[in-house]
Amino acid sequence: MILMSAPFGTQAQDTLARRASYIGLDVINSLPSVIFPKGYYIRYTTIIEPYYLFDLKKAGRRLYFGAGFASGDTRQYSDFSPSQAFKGVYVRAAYEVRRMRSTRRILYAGYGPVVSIAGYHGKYLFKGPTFGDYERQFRETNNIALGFEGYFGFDFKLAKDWLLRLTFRNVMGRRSAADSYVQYFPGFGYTIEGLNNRFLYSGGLSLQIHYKVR
Amino acid sequence: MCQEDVSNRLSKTSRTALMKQLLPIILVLSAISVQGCVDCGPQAELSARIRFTGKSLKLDSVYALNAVSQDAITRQLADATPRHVDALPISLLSDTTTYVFRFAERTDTLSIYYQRVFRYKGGCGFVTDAREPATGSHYYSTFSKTEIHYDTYVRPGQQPWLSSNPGAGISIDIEP
Repeated sequence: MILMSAPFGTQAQDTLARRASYIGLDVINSLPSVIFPKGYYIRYTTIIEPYYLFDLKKAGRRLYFGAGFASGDTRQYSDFSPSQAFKGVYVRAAYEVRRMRSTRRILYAGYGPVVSIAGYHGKYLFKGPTFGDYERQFRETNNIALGFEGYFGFDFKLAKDWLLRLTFRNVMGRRSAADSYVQYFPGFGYTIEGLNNRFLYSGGLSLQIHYKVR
Repeated sequence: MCQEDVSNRLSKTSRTALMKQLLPIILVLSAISVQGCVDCGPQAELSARIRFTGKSLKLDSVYALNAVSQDAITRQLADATPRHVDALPISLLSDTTTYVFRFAERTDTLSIYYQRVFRYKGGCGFVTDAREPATGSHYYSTFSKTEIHYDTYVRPGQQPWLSSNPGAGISIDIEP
């Protein structure tokens, strides 16, 4: 272990070789939906994502656990692609490999599974000037999705025990019921419309603040 | 849904000398143009086409039962002896719609039956369609002869860019 971290110098021993664990929270996930409710793809959404990270015995290897809760509304694109109100809980885990880039910055990449249980509902409308409008609700409950996530990002050391993590993530998966396209699937994010509504694909940015607990 | 300017852009770019750099872009654009476009249908109140055959009668008015507004129908009856009514609205709220045709010397009733379809379609959102009823009669009519043809309003699959063939919907031939 000492041999492996030797080329990185003393700072590297602090951040890569010494085993630590962190608890963290996603800090910007829901902010844009409150600040720009009209322009952003979700509106007034609560997203709470706590994390737990801990280093493995092998230097530069780490396990990552996340839980999450999301509840909010998507944007209304048209009467036919209406706003969807969603709510869901999810967990994720990942195996992460880290490389030192500078004394304050570490590059990492990881992959792991995502499991999410969510529901959503909304209303679509067809205007009927002659006979009257047709409005119906669509609803999915207990929609279970299983996915695989890959990501990379940077750890920035803010202060002695504080860490800022900027992650670029890609996730794909499959869900249990799929009568209609889901715009936002909790745990996955904004989903791209594909050939098959069951298939979920999403990517995005995550900013987290972590505190060293050990 | 169709963006015909993509094919124009394609022919322009192929003329330039920067072939190599543009090759990936051309590949993407040609992939899009091969895909064509999706027929979403009217995504509105559907309508049937009516064609009158045989002798022409002076049509005073067409009145739809249970309608909140007759405007869309009366607008199409500028001609006193029409040979066809292009877009007679059918109800989104019921699987049957009834019309009363008032001619100068007689009054006729026509009810058409169909099965409404509301579903989600990729690239469109929710779409509305009407198809042949699974059971029961297709129409009730006091005309001497009535024929009804069902066709989808939302054509499945990909539509070619230049010769798109949208769903024709319900058409009715009437001999008064």
